[in-house]
Amino acid sequence: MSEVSTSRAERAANLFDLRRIIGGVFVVWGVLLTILGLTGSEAETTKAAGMNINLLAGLIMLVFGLCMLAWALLRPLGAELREAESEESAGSPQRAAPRGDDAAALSSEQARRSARGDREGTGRSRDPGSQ
Amino acid sequence: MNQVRLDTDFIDYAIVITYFGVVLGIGFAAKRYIKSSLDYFLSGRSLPAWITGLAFISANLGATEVLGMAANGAQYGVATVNYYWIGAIPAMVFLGLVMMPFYYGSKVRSVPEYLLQRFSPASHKFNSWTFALATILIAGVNLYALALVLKFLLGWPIIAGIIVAAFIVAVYISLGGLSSAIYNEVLQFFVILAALIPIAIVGLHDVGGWNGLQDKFKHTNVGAAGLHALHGTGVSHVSNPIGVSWIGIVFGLGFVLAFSYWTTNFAEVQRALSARDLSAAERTPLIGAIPKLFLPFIMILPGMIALVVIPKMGTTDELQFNNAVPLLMNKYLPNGMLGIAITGLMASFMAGVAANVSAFNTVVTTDLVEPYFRPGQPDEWYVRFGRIATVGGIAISIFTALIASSYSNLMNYLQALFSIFNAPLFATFIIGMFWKRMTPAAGLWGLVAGTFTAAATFVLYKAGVIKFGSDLAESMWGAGLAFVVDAIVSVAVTMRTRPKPVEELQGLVYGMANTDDSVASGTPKLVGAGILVAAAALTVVFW
Repeated sequence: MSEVSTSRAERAANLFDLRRIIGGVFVVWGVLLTILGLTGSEAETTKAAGMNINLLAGLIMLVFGLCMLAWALLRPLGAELREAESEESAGSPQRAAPRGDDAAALSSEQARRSARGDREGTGRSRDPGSQ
Repeated sequence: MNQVRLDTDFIDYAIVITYFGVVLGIGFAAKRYIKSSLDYFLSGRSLPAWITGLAFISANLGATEVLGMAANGAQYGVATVNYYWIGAIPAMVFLGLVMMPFYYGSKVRSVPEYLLQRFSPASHKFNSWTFALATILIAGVNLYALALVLKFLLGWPIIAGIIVAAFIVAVYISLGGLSSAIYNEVLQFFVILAALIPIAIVGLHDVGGWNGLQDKFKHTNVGAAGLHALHGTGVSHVSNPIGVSWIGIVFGLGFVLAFSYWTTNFAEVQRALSARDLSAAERTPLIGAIPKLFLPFIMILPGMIALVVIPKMGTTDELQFNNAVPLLMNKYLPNGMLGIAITGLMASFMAGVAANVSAFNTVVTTDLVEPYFRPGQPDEWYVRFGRIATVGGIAISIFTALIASSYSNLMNYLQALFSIFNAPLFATFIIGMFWKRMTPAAGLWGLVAGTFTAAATFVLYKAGVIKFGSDLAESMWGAGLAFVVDAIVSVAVTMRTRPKPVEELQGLVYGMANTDDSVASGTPKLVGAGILVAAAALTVVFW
């Protein structure tokens, strides 16, 4: 079913991307803060209760970002695809999302609602009191 | 006396700009180039549980959590942890293990939709009106929080800050800042952690660790009582800082306020339903619950530290409780780290306003105007109306932000809103879910009665007619009363009106559920149990 394998590829790509983005942002920030921490003044350290917080936070962010990127690179597209395929064939039917006619009806209803919302780029989350 | 101002330089601004560049860039790309495919799995059914789990908890980390919980820490001390270990964890576990299978089987995707199917258009209409009002009030809270940050950054008066913030949000929304909400939320989660953990670490170091903090906290006006979660909550002898007994905490907060928020809040439910299958959907709130167990250490601790290290904390407008986190940022953070912290705050507030305004737009257009006021118009008409609703929503939020600005602790305000809008909804929903006999008329009148009760409790408290131990105590009692009144009225009305035929309730009531297992089994259950045990253990440690 080409529709299924495309969605698997897309899902894997999505997962991949998000880790890369997070990893990228934190590596950049980590490097920036580490440099600031190394070139920072004594006054800054005293202000932060005696801790060189730029350096400390910078290094931690850098490590975190690198781990994210490593995860993204070590478990690339192929592994996700293969894993997803085998899960799909072995998976228990009643635990899966609504499929077939129900899924079509649901997804067209959702698509109609989301298309309306997305057309103006506002997204579809309706969340009172979430934040 | 000089105004407190954050001492920012270009590095800090560069950090903020790069973050928003990435976020808007994702949204832009999503809108233009990969819309159909990204939409497919952003709109659900294929995201892995770790993404939906983190988005789930991030949707909860808005202005109110970030500023509000620290404000609570400064105003009430350790008792604030009850908002996490009693007041969130059990509800989140319940959502995962009980509600997710139900939502999957019932095929409704939101609580308003449930009301429409289970009861009647009248119930749906009433809820849609109150829902719309709630979104606008809460958008205002986030707008005010943004204005506070602008005041710290640039020294602008609050009213100017609110208007400018409203404008910034309008631009953010139209540039597609919400097109990839779930994406941004996962990124946002880590940014908020990156912003708050250093503040907690430096602050704790400054006061001499946890022991040092405890010692110093005893000398504040909250005192030793503020070092315990549940001391002084006996019914006859209420002496904890929140001023409420354990009944209020367990029933009002732990059950009604918490369950109503986590089980009916559309954003939270939506993120759980975005997971790739029922098992992932069940695990989403559980995965979200794990960081929630430990968030008190970076959310509440800074508030307590602020009370200790900032002289006269909470006594003036400039030193209001809401400012606990910005004041600590000003005190400790060097440029660079300061930029990250500002980014974290602004990101969560912008997302908060944008999400609430878009919710307002959706409910007004899809749940009110389209079915009841102007049905049958072409799609373009509704899209155009939606745009007007968005702009209108932002404009109204400016006024609701002014209401929020009168609260020195935003959490007090928000919990009161929850008691009025969420609590009755939850009562009607949960009773309708479990009791087949409940009639559509009861679905409406129970809701009306509950909402009125909570609103009346709030108004009478504000007017000084009824007394509670604190603002938070009022919200717990208001929620509890709303639940009880809603339940009583629902039962009374049901006895005198006619129910829907049982066949119409297929999938909408327990006992007529559409899935084979009505409660999750296996790994999710174990994880859920583990999390409950952890929350109980933490509560005992901080007893």
